[in-house]
Parts: sequence; structure tokens; C-alpha cells
Amino acid sequence: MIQYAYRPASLSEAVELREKEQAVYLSGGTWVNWAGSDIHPQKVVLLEDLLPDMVEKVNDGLEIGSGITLQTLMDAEDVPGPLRQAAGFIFSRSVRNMATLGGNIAANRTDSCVIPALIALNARIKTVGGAEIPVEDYLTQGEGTLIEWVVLPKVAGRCMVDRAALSAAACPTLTLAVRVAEEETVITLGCVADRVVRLKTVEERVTSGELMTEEDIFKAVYAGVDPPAGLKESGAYRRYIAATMAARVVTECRGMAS
Amino acid sequence: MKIKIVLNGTPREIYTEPGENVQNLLKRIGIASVRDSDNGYAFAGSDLIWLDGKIVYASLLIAAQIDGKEIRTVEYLSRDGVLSPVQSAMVDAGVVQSGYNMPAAALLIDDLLSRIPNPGKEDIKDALSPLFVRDSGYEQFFKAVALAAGRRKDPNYTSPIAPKFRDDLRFVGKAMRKVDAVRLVRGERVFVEDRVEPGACVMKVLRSPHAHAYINTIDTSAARKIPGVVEIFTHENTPEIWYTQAGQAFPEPSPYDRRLLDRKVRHTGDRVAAVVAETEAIAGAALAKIRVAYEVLPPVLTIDEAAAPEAPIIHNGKIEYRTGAPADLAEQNKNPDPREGKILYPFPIGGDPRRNIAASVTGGIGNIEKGFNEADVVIERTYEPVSHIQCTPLETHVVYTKMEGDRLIMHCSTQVPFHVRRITASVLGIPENRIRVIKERVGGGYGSKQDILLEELCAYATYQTGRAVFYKYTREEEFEAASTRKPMKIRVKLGAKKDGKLTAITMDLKANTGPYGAHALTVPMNACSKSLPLFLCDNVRFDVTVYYSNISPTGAYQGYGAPKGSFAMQMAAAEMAEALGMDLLDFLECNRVREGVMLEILKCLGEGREGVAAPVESCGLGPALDQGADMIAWGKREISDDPDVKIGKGVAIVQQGSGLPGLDQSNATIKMLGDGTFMLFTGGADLGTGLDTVCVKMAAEVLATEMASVGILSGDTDNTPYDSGAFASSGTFFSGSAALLAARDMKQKILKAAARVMEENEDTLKIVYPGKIVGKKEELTYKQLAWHTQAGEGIGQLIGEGHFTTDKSAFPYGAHFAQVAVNTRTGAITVQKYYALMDAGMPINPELAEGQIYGAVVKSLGHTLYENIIYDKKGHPLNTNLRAYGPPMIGDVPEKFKAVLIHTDDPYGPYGAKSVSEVSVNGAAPAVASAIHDAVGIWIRRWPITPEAILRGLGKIG
Repeated sequence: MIQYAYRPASLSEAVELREKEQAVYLSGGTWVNWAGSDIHPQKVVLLEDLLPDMVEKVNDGLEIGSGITLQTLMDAEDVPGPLRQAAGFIFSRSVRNMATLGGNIAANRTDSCVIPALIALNARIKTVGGAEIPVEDYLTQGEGTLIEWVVLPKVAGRCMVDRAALSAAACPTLTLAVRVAEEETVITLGCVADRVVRLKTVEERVTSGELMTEEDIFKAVYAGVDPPAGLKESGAYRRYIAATMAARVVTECRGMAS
Repeated sequence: MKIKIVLNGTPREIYTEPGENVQNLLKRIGIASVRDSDNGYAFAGSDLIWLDGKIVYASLLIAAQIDGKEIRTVEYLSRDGVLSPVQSAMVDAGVVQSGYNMPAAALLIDDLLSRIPNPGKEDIKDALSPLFVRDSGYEQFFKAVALAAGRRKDPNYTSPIAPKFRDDLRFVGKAMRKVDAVRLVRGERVFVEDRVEPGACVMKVLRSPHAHAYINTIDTSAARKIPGVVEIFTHENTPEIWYTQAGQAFPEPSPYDRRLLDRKVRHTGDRVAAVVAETEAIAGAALAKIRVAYEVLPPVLTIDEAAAPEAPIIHNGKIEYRTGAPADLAEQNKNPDPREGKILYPFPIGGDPRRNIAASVTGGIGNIEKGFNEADVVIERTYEPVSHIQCTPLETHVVYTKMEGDRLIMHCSTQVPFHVRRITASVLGIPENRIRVIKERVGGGYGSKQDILLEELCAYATYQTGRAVFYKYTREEEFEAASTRKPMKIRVKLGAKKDGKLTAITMDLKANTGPYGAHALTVPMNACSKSLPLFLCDNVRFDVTVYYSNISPTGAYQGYGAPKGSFAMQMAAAEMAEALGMDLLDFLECNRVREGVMLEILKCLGEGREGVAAPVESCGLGPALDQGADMIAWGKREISDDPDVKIGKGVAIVQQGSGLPGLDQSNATIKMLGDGTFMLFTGGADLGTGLDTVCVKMAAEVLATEMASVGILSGDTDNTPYDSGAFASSGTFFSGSAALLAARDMKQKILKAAARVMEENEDTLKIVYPGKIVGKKEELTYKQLAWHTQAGEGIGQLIGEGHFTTDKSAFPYGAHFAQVAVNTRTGAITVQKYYALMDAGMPINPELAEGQIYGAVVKSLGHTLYENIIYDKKGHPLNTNLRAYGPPMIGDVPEKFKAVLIHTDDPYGPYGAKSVSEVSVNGAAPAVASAIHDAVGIWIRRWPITPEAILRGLGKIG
């Protein structure tokens, strides 16, 4: 049970407190306080009212405060459609009312709905007092650092997201985001490994034109992933569905992008 | 720490720990309406609150997070003492059934209408997305929201709620407010947890980490030293009394194969020790200090494993029979293990525990061999509805026990208060008159609260310690240690002539009863007795074998085996129709049961006794099939715009019973009070379905008075007469009939007493609405009559009595039609249309009946498509929270969904009524599966029917 809850006056104080007290950041609470969470801290640093929660237009892109809830993100008209749609993959409106964008990224779950979309949109993370780094890098190197802003640059091409789940509120069996542009393809998948992955080899083959048909892409993705079995699905099913859905979405993106 | 909040408009300062869960905090400071269904998994929504303008889960918040904020709960909505427009709309639309999380639903709808005054269907789905509703499904919420939207603008706004039946009746057959709905939607203190008094102890149970093991040693000494630990119970200090937890009428057709705490554990989560402590935290600390040494045994998880020749034996104790011991009992009793105690059969039910067989039975009519010889086409198929399904009541199993003098008082959430009393008395070794069971409002039962799963343990603790004890299952315990539906494997063989006429049916059913034999015989038999009689066939045989195993306990669940029997039989019918080249609807029409026939097969399908053939006095299958076929445009091939998507249609016919003729009994009394109003006392257990409302309606109808003039007390063993309980679809037919008879008795007594007062012949008097007796000379109000009867010279208080038993059956029927879209690329299944046409006789509460149909269908769609408890190889259930288990939410309801009440008039049911809720769970699996076949040409014979199963069927994955 949480014994101490610190309420810092600033983000820099929050960072200091976390380090000094060996505490955990607590924003919306849908991960830290969730019974199924794998973390059970005794000390938390409350971030509410400190983190920015607005969407700002910056140059050609957007900066989104990491404290924005997923519901507000969904409702924000300036935010790219695929990211809003991905936030909506979390079925419960009340979860979306609580969960923050920053918290969702920091939790770094393989079944995250928004991480694939952020990667596909070339999103970058601005941490408190730190540098601006790609979301992918944050996920592998940024553990424990406090996200302040999520930067969405203007990107080319067409982006789409999708998900598979047994039922409306079930844990996803696949999360997926794809962006296809003339010079670049991004394919990101959740639930096929222990964290969200990007299929860079397949992306390059799509961009280069080596993989032209949906069947080609299916085969490439199929060869490129080896998901573990889920609770209710076999690894073979997950692999098949990942390849099928990725191939379809890439094909649709390519069709629309062209 | 001290936090400041504004709670329902009032500033409050609260002392708390920073990490205190906000749901607990609110409960602690007196907010009863914010409840806990999932222990912080944010799925069921019973804990939703309004926090600074957003609806959020209280269980996902800690106290430190709400400092300085404004919180509203449902108490805010009716703060002026009257229901808000949203609450009144919910009550009138019939969505408030068991009601455990209806306060949360009211908050969600209020929030929705604040944001969007005229919401569309998708807006409503989004708004209600945090809410899990198991009883009434979700469909009627669309109507409730529309009604609420209207009432926010005009408090008098109304709209049609449900069809009306019987113009000659005032209340019966009309949508009237459910008598407990207002209290439920206001979040009042009506559940067991609301009865807990300050100073009560808490019970927590140490549960087995192994699916199958002996307890070699158990050491509680360290735990006992913890201050605040009151007592710890283990197999070493509890009585060696063997019983069944099945809440069936005595003598139960279930083996007595368990004791309070045993030396052997037979499933993961089986009881090892029970701690009674001053607080939950102390009890938890004590559990951690108990040291147990296990001798782990290999687990048995499936029917095939249990039936294997060298399978580990689940029950290897001494076998005893109270009566009718089999001739080979001595042989069966060779080499019992003394560590296993015993297993006692009240009477023979075909058990052979050394072969892991808890029960078995065989029966049939006609000449099977001759039947198959006469057939032109014979098919034989095996169906495997093996998924392990949980009842998932919103209110987990819960009990509060205390002593009053030398009497034990038990506040229960149960379907069977009188069986709770009997079984508890037998375990405690005290007479029944020392125990009072009070059934509180039940926050969802669905069959699992027909079983006595924790009541007797808590009662024992209270009886031994003298302390009041509260025990509420966690959701994890609900999955590990509450009743579930028995997995089954069913082989069906059909023979038919070329014209479609069935000549022979055999059903070989094997069931998995889990670690104990509660309902071991009767659930699998019901799978036969509710599926075979749907087809008129002279030659029928069934074989039932029920195996013990080490999965979570099984027992009663709505449908009571029938959903699985129905799946097998209806699927076999569909496959036979295909083999014959016949349209499925034509095949069903050719063979289906109809009014006037005698169901001979029921002679051999009694519940542990000889059955009786029963005539079908009313059957609405004909109009149900005709109307359903029109609604779904049967025979018309639908084409999707997406070439990957194929659309198909399916149908299934279903039946159930209305209680257990010859076994069930219900009683009621009704008293006229001093002002001419009435109190009705019924032993019936309203588990949220509206049974109290049924009884009040019928009494008011008979006595020509207002429903408000009939109060009701039900399910209190001290104050209401005996009733076998609310199971087997008995509520309206049995308990309702008893109430009806009591009211009729009261009516006769009123006339007799009035004749004396009015000095007129009884035959010339009439009871006239509202509440008066009219003679040739004068009128007398009930109030005047009460004064006369209860005055010093009166004849005494008028008390009517009703006692209902019967050997007559009233079978509810139905036809379910489904249209599904199957994506051949992804295997995704979308139920586009679902029409459930149900013959419930004359519906007493039509809006509640419709809600129960919707709820049953959504529930059974979940069973068919999503739900399953998954075990690892050691027998540990892996998905013991609601999200991982995955029941359907509002986003899963069919796109077009309609419950239709087919009116028939059953001669034996009260006002022609039959049961409705339970029967409605039997159709979804076969209707959906046959629609899938129609869409993509594959027969899926195993539950759950997942996208992966589709893809495997299509050969897309190996």
C-alpha cells in the first residue's frame, strides 16, 4: 500500500523527490493504482496539476502535454485522427478520463494502444530537463524519466491504426499502426513481443517496392514476428493475425497515400 | 493526513492514509452507493464517482489524489429526496434489476445528458462503456436514456416502455415500477455489506496454491500471536461433518463430499484455513503467517483425464450411502485413504468415486435400434462446450453473521435462504430454530447463489467465537472458489427419414463437476431434459456420466446444463438438416414439440427420482418461429460490401421448465393491517429479477387495491413461510403461485368477514377497486373492515395463506434467430442481428421479462464467444479478474437486437405465466454457430467460438 504521497511544487522538484525518495510517479492512476499492475510502490510523487495537459501548435507540428487524458486527446480536433482513434481503443470512457498520455507511454506495455500510433507518427518525447528523443528511444532508454511533452511533427503519407481483441473491453491481442509515405514506411505492432515493436526490415522492403502485393507483405510480416501465446490465443493465431492485419493496413495506406 | 473535499455539495475534512483506496474511504465515511465488484480492476464500474466533472473509478484513486476536489455520488442526484429524471427513467424502463451498480449507471447517464442532451446510440454506448451489466443486458439502457433525456426537459415526459398484456387486468401484464427499484437506484443500504456493524470481525480464508494435495502439517501458532487475531480454523479444529454445498431440497441428489475445512485440497483456491480477525489487514497478516506443508498430487483437469484408467482419484475416502447402497459397495470401499474422510450419498445417483465418477444415469424411451434401422440418414457428432464459465455476479459472494443471545443471525445474499438455514444447522449441529437467515437484496445470483459457499463457514466462526463476522469474496475468490458451469462433452447421434422426421436420438453426455459433486447429477440431466423434449421422437436414449476433477468448483448456473445440451442437440439438428438437404427451419418445424403432446421422455428424467410424463399445455414455438423468420428475412442471402465478410443466419429453439413439479414447494401469507393495507410474507427469494414485484402485483390484482397498499417481506426464515428457493426458474410459477393463492384466500376471508359486518350474504358481495367491498345495501372499505375485524369484538386479523405444490409443468419456449458476419480473413465474428422470441406465457412484468431476455442473450453470447477460465497444466486458473475473463460489455451487443414476448396462456401458471429468464440463455450458442455455418460453411462444435476457431476451421492456420 502507498504510504507516502508527495505533492511537489514543480516538475523539477518532482524529479528530485522521485530520485531522493525512491518513489514512483503517479499521474492518472490507471497503471500505478490498478490491481493488475506489476508495480506496488510505497511512495508516489503526485504529478497532477504539474504536467501540461494542452495541445499546442508548434511550427508545423503539435506539442501535446503529457498530462492530457486519453479522453481529452480523443476529443482534441487538432490531434491527428489515428492517434485519437488509438486512444479510443481503450474501451472504457472512465479509464480514458483518468489515463494520461504520458503515463500510457511510461507504462510501456506491449498492448498499449497509443504507442504504436505515436511511433508511426514519428512522435518525440520531451522529458523534464532532458533532451527531445524519439518515442522508440524513450521506450528502450528512458525508463524513469519524466515525460513533459509529446511532440508530433508534421509527417508525410497516410497513417492508420487498428486493433484486434476478443471483445470490446478485452485485452487486445494485437495493436497496430502503419504509416506509408513515398520515402518512408512505419509498421509498429503491439502484443507480438514483450514490448511494442517496429518491423524495420519489412518497412524498408515496402518502401523500396520489393513488397508490392498484400500477400508479399503478409509473408514478410509473418516471417518477421513470433508472438508468444496469449491467455486465450495461440502464438500461431497471433502471428497470423498480425501478418494479416498489417498487410491489409499497409495496402490500404499505400492505396490511399498514392 | 487530512484531506479536504466537497462531497455531494458539502465541504468535508477527512483523516486518511495517503494511499487509502478512495472506494474504501467513501464507504468508511458513509457513502454506501460506491461499491466494489472487481477489487480495483476497473471493469465493472460499481465504484464509479463524479470527480471534478469526470466519471472515474474510485478504486483507481488514492486519497491523496482527491485532496481539494469535488466528488459526487448518486446520493447527489436525489439529494432533494426525490428521484432525478435519470433515476426515474431507469426505474421505469426496467433496467434496475439486481441493481448493484445501478447508482453508477445513474451517474454515467446523468453525465452523458449533461454533455449531450440528445445522445445517439453510439454516444450512449460510449457513456456506458465503463459499466458491466450481467442481468438486464444493455439494450434497455437506450430506452432509459431517451426517457431520461425527455424528463430532463419535461418531468412528466413518458414513452412506451413495454408491450401490455391482458386489458382486463390492472397491474399484471403491465410495466409497473419494480418494488425495490427506487431503493436500488438511490444506492440505499440494501445489501449484505450494508448490514455490517461497527466492531464486527472480518474473515479471510487461506486458499490452496495447489489443485490437488494433502495437507501434511499446518501451523497457525505464529499467526495466532498477531494482536487482533480472534480465531483460526483448520481441519484440525472443525467438525468432521460431511455435506454438500448444493442448495437443493433435502435429500439432495448430490454427494456429501466435503467438510468445512478438509485435510485434502481438491482445487486451487480450496479452503485451507479461515482466519477471524478484528480487521481485514490483521486477517491478511495472519494468513501470511500460517505455515502449511503439502503433499502435492497430480491434478486432473479434463473429462478425458478424469476418465483415464490410471487417473489420480479425487475422492478416495470411505463411501457411504444413507439409503440404497449398491451391491458392490464393499468392493468400491477397498483401500480408502483415511486422510480423505468420507463421501456420503443420500441415495444412489450412479456414483463410482474410485473411477472419479460423481454420478451417472441412463434412460430412454422406445427402441433405439429400431429407430436407427428405420432412418434413411444417420449422423453422429461430438460437441464440446467445454469452456469453463463463471457466473460473475456484480456482488461477489458475501455473508454477515452474528449472535443474538443464543441465536445465530445470518444476513445473506442467497437464492435459497431456507437451505442456508438447514445446511448451516446441520454443520453446526444445532436445531434450525436457533438460526435466522435474512436474505438481503441480491446483487446478482445467476445460480451461483443457490449454493452455500461461504455462509456455513462464517456461521461456524460466529457460533464458535461469539463474534459478528463479515466475509466477502474477492473477485479472485469468485473465480477460484465459487460455482461455475460444468464443462461438458456431448456426443449426439440422430436418425431421420428422408422427409426429415426424426426416428432416433441418442445423447451421450459427459460432464466435469470439478472437485465436489454439487448438482453433479441434476445439471447434466437437465442438459438432456431441456433439450431432448424439444423434438418429437419415439426412440430416445441418453447416457450421462459426471466426473470429478481439480478445476474450480462447479454448481448451478442459469440454464443449469441446458445451454450446453441445447447447443449439442440444436447443432445436431442443423447438421442433420444439412445432411438431408433440408432448410433448418423446415426441419425444426417437422420435428418440434407442439401444444397437446405428451412428453414421455420426462418419465426417465426426474431429478434423482422417477420422473413423470408431462403434457405440453401451452407452446408458443409456432408463432415464435414464424415471426422470427419474418424479422430476420429467413432464406434471404445477405451480401456484405466487404468481399472478405460472409453473412449467415441461424436459428435455435429452446425450452426450460418453471420450477420442479413434485419437488419444489412455496408458501405465502398475507395479513390485513389496521388501515386496510396488506403485508405479504413470502419465502420466495427475489434475486433481482422482480419476484417481489410479481407477488405484489398479483396480490393487488386479486384484492383490487393499489400495489402500494401491498407491502412485502420475503426470504426471511423467521418471518416468512418456507420456500424451496429461487432456482430452476421457479420464482413466478411457484413463489408467485403461493402469493396468488394467499391473496385469493385473503379475498375469501375479506368477503366472509365483510358479510358478517355488512349483514349481507357473502355471495352478494363484490370486491371493487380501490379496496372496498360493495354489497347490495352498502359499501365497506378495507380500512373499515380492518377496524371491525381487529377491534375488541372483531373476529381477528384477517390472514390469508397460500401453499403451492404441483405435479404440473409449464414449459417456456422460444426461438432465437441470429445473423452473423464472419470475416474470412481475420476470423472476426460480428453478431449483426439477434431476435429472441420467447413464450413466457403471460408476462407478469413485461419490461423486466424483456430485460431478462436481453440479459440472458448477452450473457450467453459471452459464453459462446468470449468467456472461459484458462488453467495452466498444474490446475491454476490464470484469468481470475473480470477483464482477463472477458464477459461482454455494451460494445458487444448485437447491432439489431430485439426481445419479443410471445403471449400464450398456460393453464397452470399464475395468470397464465411461465418462467422467462433462464430459458433465454439456451439459444445463442446454437443460433450463432449455425449462422456461422450458413456464412462460411464450417461447423464449430466447441466453445468458445473465437476468431482463432474460425480461422482453424477455414484452414487458415494449422
